Amino acid sequence: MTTENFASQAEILKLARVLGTTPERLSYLEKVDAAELQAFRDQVTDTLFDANLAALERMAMASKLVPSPILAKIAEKVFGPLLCARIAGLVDVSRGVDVAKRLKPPFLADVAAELDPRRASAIIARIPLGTVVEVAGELVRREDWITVGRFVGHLPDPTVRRALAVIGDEALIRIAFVLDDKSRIDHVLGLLSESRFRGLLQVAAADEDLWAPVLDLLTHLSEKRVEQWSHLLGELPPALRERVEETIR
Amino acid sequence: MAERTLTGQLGGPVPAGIEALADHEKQDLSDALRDARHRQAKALAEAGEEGLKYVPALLRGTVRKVVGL
Repeated sequence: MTTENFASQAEILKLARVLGTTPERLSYLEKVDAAELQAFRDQVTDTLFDANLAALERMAMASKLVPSPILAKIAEKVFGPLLCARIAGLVDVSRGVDVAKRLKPPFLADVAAELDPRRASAIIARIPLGTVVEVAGELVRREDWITVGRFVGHLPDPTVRRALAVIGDEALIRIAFVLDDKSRIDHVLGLLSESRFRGLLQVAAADEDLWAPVLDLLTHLSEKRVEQWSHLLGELPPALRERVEETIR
Repeated sequence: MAERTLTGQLGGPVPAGIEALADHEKQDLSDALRDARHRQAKALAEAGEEGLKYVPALLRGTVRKVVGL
């Protein structure tokens, strides 16, 4: 499978989630370019978020009247992850953060999977670090690389750095592959220590299933980073090193 | 009619690669989007009434008014 096929498949998974359907149903989209699928997914997401905007805005307004502990209970017991995700970008930021802090990490992970980070970035950026790390850990346990990848562009560096500590090397490679904003890859990998990056390359080298995603990851490194870590790339086994040299030169 | 077509629901043109799909494939995408919208509207309607049960009685009238229930 080529990198482009992988990218389209990742986009189909994301679109299926937005539409609440199965990726198998949408298999005919494999022939569509990944960038076009991403643009289409954004259109679909916007349509769904705007579809009941007036009602959601009224609910957000009413939420100002209700104490946070009660709102948190309503969020978990009645609203569920989908509606919480729809309303998150509409509530007052400090109120949203206060409610989010009271929700259990598995529920927040469910909300994260439904959320459009573009619309709730103010709240996301203010969720306490410990909570973000717990939610990231939960998403990694679920192998939900797509959701983690959608949030990377919306979290401050100290939070990303802490989250990286609970994300294993294989998970990190898979997350980078489905990242919404691949221009972030170089920056995020720059937060890793040299020994961590060496370990990540060793994990990739030992598993051929990770070659395509790791090659994709390396193509998004800046020239400066490639130069900085060229000695690590030189340590790769010959077969993978050859592929890396073909890909990034 | 607008609800039946993809561009009608999205309120504008779709990327060329989607436009180039077979008619039955575009129809399937349109059906999936329509179903998602209906599910969302239904969940929202149910949540409004159900959520009120958790709101303290004193506040319920005001909240009902603001939400428009």
